[in-house]
Amino acid sequence: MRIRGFRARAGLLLLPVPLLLLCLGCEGRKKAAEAKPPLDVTKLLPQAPDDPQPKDGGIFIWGRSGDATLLDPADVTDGESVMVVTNLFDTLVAFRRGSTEIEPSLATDWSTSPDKLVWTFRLREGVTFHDKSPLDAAAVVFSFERQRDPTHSARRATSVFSYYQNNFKSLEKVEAVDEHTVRFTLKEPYAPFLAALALFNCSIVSPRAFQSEGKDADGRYAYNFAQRPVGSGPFVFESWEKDSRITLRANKDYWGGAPRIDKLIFKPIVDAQTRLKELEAGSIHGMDNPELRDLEIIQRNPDLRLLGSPGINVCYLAMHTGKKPFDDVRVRQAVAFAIDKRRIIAAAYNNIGKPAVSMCPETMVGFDRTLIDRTRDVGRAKRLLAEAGYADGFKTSLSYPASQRTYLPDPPTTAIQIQQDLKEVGIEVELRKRDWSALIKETQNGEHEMCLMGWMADIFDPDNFLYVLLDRENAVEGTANNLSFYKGDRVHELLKEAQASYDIHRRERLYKEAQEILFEEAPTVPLVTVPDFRVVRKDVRGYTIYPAGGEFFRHVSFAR
Amino acid sequence: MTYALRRILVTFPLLLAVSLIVFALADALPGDAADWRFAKQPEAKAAWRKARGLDDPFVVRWGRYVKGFATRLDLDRSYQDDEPVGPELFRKLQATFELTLCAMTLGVLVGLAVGILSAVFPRSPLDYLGQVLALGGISVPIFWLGMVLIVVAVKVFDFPFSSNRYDLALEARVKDFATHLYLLESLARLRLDVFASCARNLLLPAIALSTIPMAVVTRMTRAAMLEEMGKDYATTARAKGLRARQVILRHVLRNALIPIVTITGLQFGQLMGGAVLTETVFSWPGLGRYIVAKGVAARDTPVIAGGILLVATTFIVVNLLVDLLYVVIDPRVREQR
Repeated sequence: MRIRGFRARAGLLLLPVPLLLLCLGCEGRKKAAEAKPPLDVTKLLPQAPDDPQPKDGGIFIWGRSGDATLLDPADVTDGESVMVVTNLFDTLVAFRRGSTEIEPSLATDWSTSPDKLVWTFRLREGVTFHDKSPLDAAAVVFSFERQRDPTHSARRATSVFSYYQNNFKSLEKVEAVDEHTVRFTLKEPYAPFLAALALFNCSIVSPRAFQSEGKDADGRYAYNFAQRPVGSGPFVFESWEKDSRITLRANKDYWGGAPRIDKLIFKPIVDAQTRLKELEAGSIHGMDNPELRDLEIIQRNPDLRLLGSPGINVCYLAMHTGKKPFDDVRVRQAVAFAIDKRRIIAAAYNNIGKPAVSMCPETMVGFDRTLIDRTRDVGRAKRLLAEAGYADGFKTSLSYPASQRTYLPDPPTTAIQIQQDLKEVGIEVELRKRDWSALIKETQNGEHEMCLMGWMADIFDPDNFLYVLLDRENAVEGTANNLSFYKGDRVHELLKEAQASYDIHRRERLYKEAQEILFEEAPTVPLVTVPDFRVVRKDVRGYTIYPAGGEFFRHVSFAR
Repeated sequence: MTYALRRILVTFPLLLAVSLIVFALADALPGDAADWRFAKQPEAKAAWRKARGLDDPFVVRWGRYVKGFATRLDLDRSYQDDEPVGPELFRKLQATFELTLCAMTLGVLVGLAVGILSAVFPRSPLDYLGQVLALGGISVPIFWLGMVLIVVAVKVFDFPFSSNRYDLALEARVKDFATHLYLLESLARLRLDVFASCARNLLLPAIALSTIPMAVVTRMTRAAMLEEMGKDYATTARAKGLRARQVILRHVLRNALIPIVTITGLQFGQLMGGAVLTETVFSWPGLGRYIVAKGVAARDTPVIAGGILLVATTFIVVNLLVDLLYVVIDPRVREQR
């Protein structure tokens, strides 16, 4: 069947298409006209300006790359969960706004015994939890005891409390002296103690919340604290819609002054592009983890403010020193000489980030400023390999994460760069891409040969990098953080001594010697330290990057 | 009506079989969230496994799972935090359902229109454009299309793009909703401010997702219409003096509709589970993305199993509806059985 007569009219239907294309074309030309000098990340400020007369009220929505896993401050380990709990809870001491210095928080002052083994804290009076129960010495003891005592009722069968396990090995007991005084007793001196107390896992939790629903058959409290947390912080937990949003409301009775905003919403938007577009459209007000290649676009957008702070992190290549051929220091040095950090930064970091020379980042106290990095030297690398008996090179493998990390924005490109660099000196590298959790497992068990990894500061102390990543006590298969399984005796002595000393100059000397040995021994090749970036809309006031991690939205408000 | 009854009864063993396959596959996956959660404590893991009944024989666990689902719509608890996964999965299912519904409506309407016009005017510019669009709809990757849509919407039209289902300032207006079908329920309750907000937030992902069914329906409609139009009854109807419009819409379209309805049903089921990319690009809080982000990435077996079970169930139910629809469209189906 043929039908005639409609054809002329049908053609009209096509008309809107070229018109629309024309519209888009014009728009593109207009935008391309503006061009500005390239971005200098070192000039970025870490803070949106404060408003002398901030506006009250409003919903502040923070876009981030993933959802939280749980909200029990003692049990969290991932950044997405941490940034929520830091707004719900208080700690005895806290980081000064935008800095890594410690200031009083729930504790107004403290004193230590001459041997630095007994610490006594005086608590702020009149502080209450969100459920109106008093925050007293008993609550502080409760918060620490539940992490220490494996049979404590406020502990789930699944609780790991890994931060407590890592940071408070030296803590012997916590006691209430009176209603507003708490005493901590250490087994051995531990220099990072005060800094460790500012960490989220030391948040003071409400004992009454735990007790509110009675006990299960196994003697544990039934209340699911990790899903419905109760603290004393500037924000109160309201609801959690998994993978969609976590809503907190302002604590109008906060002892440090009520937040200006009414509500704080954490919204996971996995794709960085989508996150940025929502920010541009104004449906969210701030975001973390912008893609490095978008920074210039963000900088040019008049509606947005790009914030930056030198990161306290290190991305590194670890070689398993317990396995051939990496048991030979000459082979490790050869690898260190073969790698071109600047080219990696150009290829995989959009030229943003600083080459790292030590496993202790430059931004951390105790960093050895006298260290001068190796420059790439293929001939020397080959000579070292020949001396070690590998004149014809060898075959090995490199395990790296499939998903990006803050310190590793483009894992495959970084891995390929390393592969190419090593190929030039005769080392054949097989790349092994791994899911994040699989990579953790593989490397903790020591099943890898080489791996690409990174570390971000938890506690602002060099101990958190050097001891955690390179001491032999952390090289136990199954739980290792020392992924090179380096077991040097002298480094161990130095790190333990530094841990027990409270004299900062002495500690710096000890860490300097340790870093020099580690540089020569090269169990790892530190690659790069990446700055932290955040983006907020122009009308956001008072937002500050906290260099030691976590997000604190207490001071945030909107411009009038 | 025995056909309809039989068709409905077959659904139950089908669902049971699906649950067995899903449960067995999830069970066979090496490693799960618990390995990671209890990385350093084998004793705690053993205690937890015992408390959760994970050491029971497979059949016992499957029976418990099916019973929980059949009686309480319970889908077990997460391996990551021991929270029930059902409520969250149902909430996401509803988000995906609204997205799929809008995308299908849009896709089928446009697809039908373009398909019919292409068939009526074969080898006309309109036909060629329709075919190009259909081919494009199938071959353009949705994450790219989604990204372009967002950029154009935000940059050119100043569209308030948001991945929330409604503007969060309207929270108080949805507090008393019985379902998470915000678009449909706000319409039913005549809360037009909420409806407008929902519709606005659904617009971009629905357009992006609609390209898939649109393309398929266009091609299918064109082919089926051309075939039916070539048959004798169409020529006869024309010869009897019926207007072209009547022949096409009343006779030819009705006969061409059967394969179109079939493909629409299949597409609906596919989009329910396969909207992951759209949901990821637009950060839509839907089921597919949730299964991938919370289930697959973290190896949370109950989330994977529960999510797939819900998708499979929706697929089966939609196809059941399609089969029942045949009875309405095609009298022959009724008579044959």
